[in-house]
Amino acid sequence: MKKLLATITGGLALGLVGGTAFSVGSDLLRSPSEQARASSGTTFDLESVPGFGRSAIAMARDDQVAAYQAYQREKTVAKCMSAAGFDYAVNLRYPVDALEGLSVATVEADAHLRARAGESASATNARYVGALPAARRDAYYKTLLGESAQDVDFFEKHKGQIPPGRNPDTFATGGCQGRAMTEVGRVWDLRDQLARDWDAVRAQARNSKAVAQATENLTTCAAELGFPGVTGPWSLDEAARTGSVSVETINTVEQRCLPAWQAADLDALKQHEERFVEDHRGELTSQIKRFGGLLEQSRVDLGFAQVVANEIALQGE
Amino acid sequence: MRTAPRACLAPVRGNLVASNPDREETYWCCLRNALGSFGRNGLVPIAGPSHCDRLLAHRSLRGPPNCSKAALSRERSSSRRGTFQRLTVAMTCGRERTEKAYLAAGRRFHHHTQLMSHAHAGLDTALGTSTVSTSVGSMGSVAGQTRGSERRACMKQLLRGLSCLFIGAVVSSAVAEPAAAHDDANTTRYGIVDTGDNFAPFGTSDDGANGFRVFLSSPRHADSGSRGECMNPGRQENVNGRQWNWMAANGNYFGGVYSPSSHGRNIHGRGYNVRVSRNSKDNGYLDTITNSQNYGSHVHVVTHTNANGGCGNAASYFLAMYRGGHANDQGLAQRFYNNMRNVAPGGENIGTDTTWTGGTLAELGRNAPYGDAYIELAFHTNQPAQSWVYYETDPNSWNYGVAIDEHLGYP
Repeated sequence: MKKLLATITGGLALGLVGGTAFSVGSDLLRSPSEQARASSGTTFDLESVPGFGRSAIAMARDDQVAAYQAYQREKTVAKCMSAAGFDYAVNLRYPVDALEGLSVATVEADAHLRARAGESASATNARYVGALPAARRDAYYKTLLGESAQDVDFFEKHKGQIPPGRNPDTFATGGCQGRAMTEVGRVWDLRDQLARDWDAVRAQARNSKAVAQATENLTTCAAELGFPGVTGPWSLDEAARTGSVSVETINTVEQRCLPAWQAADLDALKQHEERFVEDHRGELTSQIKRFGGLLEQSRVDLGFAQVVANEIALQGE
Repeated sequence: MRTAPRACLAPVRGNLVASNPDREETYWCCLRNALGSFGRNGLVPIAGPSHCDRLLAHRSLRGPPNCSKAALSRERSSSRRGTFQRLTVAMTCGRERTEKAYLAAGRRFHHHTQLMSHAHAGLDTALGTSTVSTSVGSMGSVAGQTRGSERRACMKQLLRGLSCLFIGAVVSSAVAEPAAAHDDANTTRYGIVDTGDNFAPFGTSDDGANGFRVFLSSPRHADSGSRGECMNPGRQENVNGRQWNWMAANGNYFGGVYSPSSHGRNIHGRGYNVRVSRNSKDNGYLDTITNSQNYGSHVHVVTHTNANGGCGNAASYFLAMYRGGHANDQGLAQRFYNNMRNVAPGGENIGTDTTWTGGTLAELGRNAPYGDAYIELAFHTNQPAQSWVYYETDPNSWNYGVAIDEHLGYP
């Protein structure tokens, strides 16, 4: 445990995340106050906003925050269930292998060294509820999900089909789990709310003059290699689907011609992204403040580290 | 009708089939799936069931390896043995725990130098002279123990003009290398797996990360295996769905051709982070939805195989379903329909879940921001269709990536 604590509180270890080395002090992992100062005056990079990561390291940051929120929700559920007289094991329900790049590496090693045995949280919960008498089982599901045992049984027996007459958008969204989702929320919520605005930004970037020029260059480059009419990566897929061009030629175009187009496309996106950031500065700044703090908290929460370690250990067994 | 090569079904001393009859494949094919495609430097590209035959034909893999101490010592010290051979011998002669660690190591470290370190360590373990802790599968401890030797070996290869990868840096090569999946789960492509798999863009054969997340949901029927599945050949439904998802996420075929450096060969190659769910036999549909919500998936795609009565039924078609009144769901389902209709066996259909199932499917209520789609690939109660799933997943699963890219506008 001391080893875990030393690793987590010591910040991030030098490691590999999706092929890119990173180290302590990355801009994306600054403290909330630092990030807030950076965002208060000038335009800031969307990548620095939790939930909006695109690069490997930003994705890893977002995974850490999202997993920690999943843990917090489960802790809330466990407390809620306990208050109603039920046992409930915290079930992370997050891909722990997505956390490999941050403070989990030594956690994993520690888990292996401890050779922890035992069952998963989901198995523990399933075993517990399976042993309950009918009336208690019904109360369990009503407390956990806001649904009767009869409806849960129908749902499972009919392979995930919602009981007739029930609203599909609200089934199993009540109870302790529903309250936990409302109380804790997700780092993705703002991203999802702004999805349509972001789509508009992407469309503007894709329709920009710079991308139009890059497309002309792509078409010319590909034609010289024997693949006419290429206007983007979709052309490669179409050719592969129809067999109109050999895969070998497609690959050659992909390696020699497409990268320049993709670079122009990404540059255009980043330029248009600035407008998006300006339009949503207040919301994005709030997001940084709220979730930057959560990231810091996740690094020192031993309960979280323990749950992640257990999940990783179970994966390896 | 093709059948699995007989050689792949032959038991080998220490293999998992002998000790665990529930496994659906031999040790060798499990090894293939676990380690994926190989690169250069004496390793063999894996492509299709016939490779099991070719591997077994290799002198070092014919029959049970000699696990005597003398033989293992010779194996360890031999400079002419390739990494793959060392690894297979180590894994066959070592204890099961070592094997799992090396399977996991093979998945994490996709360069033969690191595999070689583990092969040596595995032989040490088999010899009972292990100097490596039991956390050999851990990135942290192994990296710490082998980094120096890895770096030296890597530099030697650089001098030979070869590319190499070691923890802490990436050395680019002049030629695009087959990308490695970033999946640290100790899972196999086939079988019932109680953990998910995560893949992310990596290396020169993948597009840069685009920030979008895809969740591929696999079946979790408690009665999988008893849902009328044809088995000559064929697999249970939970495996059908997951193995398709796994290959869509991480396959190596593009345009039906084995092409491990094509960016369009799989979903992570196209720049996406992608999660393949577990396929436990626990009716855990709500659990899957929660996983998808926690992961922040932009699209949620469910892949099942269909059933009508028992094996021998004539029904055969591809089906894409969506939630009525949800434009994003319909758009996503339409893309899958467009890309799979001429690929999957039998007919093709698209429609709402209420139309095709008589009810509403919870997973179409995941409400991912860019849509949910529920795909029934083919009927596993129809033998030709089930055979298609069995044999034709590899060259066809890339179509999933096309559907997703088209729906999201090639981000």
